[in-house]
Amino acid sequence: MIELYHLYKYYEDVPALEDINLKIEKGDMVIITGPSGAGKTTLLKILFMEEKPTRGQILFMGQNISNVKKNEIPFLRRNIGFVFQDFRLIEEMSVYENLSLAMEVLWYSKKYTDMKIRSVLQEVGLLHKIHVPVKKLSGGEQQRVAIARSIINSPPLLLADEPTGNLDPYLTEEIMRLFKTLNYRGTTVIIATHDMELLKYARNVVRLEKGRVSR
Amino acid sequence: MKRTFIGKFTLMLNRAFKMDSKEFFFFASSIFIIFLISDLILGFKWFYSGISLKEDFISSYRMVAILKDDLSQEELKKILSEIQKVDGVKHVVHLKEEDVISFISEFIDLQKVRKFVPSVIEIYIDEKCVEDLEKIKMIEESIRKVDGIEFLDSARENVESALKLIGYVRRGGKFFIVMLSVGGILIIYNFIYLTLYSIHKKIEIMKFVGASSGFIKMPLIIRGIAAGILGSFFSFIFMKYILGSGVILKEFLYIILYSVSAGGIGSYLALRSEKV
Repeated sequence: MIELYHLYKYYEDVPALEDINLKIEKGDMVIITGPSGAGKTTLLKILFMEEKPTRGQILFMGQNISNVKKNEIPFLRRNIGFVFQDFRLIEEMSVYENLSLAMEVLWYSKKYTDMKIRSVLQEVGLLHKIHVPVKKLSGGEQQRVAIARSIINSPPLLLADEPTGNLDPYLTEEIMRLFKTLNYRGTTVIIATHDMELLKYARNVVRLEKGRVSR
Repeated sequence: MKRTFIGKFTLMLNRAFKMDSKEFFFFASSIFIIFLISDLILGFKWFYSGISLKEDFISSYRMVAILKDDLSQEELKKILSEIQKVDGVKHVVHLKEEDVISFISEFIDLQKVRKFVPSVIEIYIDEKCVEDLEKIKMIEESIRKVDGIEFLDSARENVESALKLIGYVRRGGKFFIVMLSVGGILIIYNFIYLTLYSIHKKIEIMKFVGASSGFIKMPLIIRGIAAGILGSFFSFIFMKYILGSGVILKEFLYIILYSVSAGGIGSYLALRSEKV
């Protein structure tokens, strides 16, 4: 699904990633770990096309995305769900409105959107909160809404940057189980975290240190 | 499963007019500013057409000639007929004694005036000749040659100054309207820019979920255009029915066209500068 060849990323002269070579298969569940500043977030941002690599090649579903044009990015991103540590939800909006935004950008009909929102909220256990404003939800609930949003279009790839960074151990367990379920259903999941406790959920682990894959 | 064209259009309209309080404030402010600018443009046009400086000046322009003393009626007729033949002269009027007294009394003591009232004629000039100072000079010279003319006042210098002044007012008016029009676009730009700033988080999230540039831009452009239509509509209602000006539908359509363009261009520029 994803192939990285000699990937480099420099911020001015400071190296963030150096000579990364990786192959992630379809249906894999990979945890990228390493200390702060190792380049985990940079790697996810490059995969999400939020940053461009300085050098190297990235193949995503067979397409070279290392030098993708700006106007093609939104269309490619529709194949990728992204979960952030800080959820990135619109707090004033309800759960329903946050999720419908992800469906509207793909021009799905209202009827289909309604159906998908209910189904995905059922999956993350938040159907009863469908019309509640996001700001009234707990951290764990907000993260589940963010996950629901990222999977509502059934993307083949799900990226998560420190998704449990703001959650207590109980909620962390709950969220990771959710990722695991999605992975069992065929979604490729890549999670960046510095929490070593989460490695037990991974099928493959990539350790980054000072911008290089260490093992 | 996917929306039809009408479904997409409805969604864009819905997104354009679904605003939080901040967005509504910026939208309402844009309408108010367009209302003010449209009113200023319409008002200036109204005022300007009302005074119609140049046309009034040209139609009222005339030369005044004082005739020699003791002319007989026949000689007077001959003078009038000769002046009438001069190219550029529209018509000639021999003033009545009372009119002359009234005219001269502005400059000389009335008691002295009554002792010797000269015979005075007014020479009206073709409108198309008034703006041509060379032509005025030629008419003046032709009239001076007519036997029996004692003194001729063409006020040529005054014509020149007046025409210059009118030219300045006209150019100033056009400049004023252009400045207002450009100002309108910049103000809309500013309000849409502020709107973008207030919803930057929402835009960022839309980009994350795969929204294309058009999907983000279109509702804001629709909003800018709607502000233009509403602002100019309120302006027309205000001018026509509250101030009772003679604004006609044609002018209203021009203002609508301007406001819609200002709204559209202002929004487009703001979105472009923010690289949405």
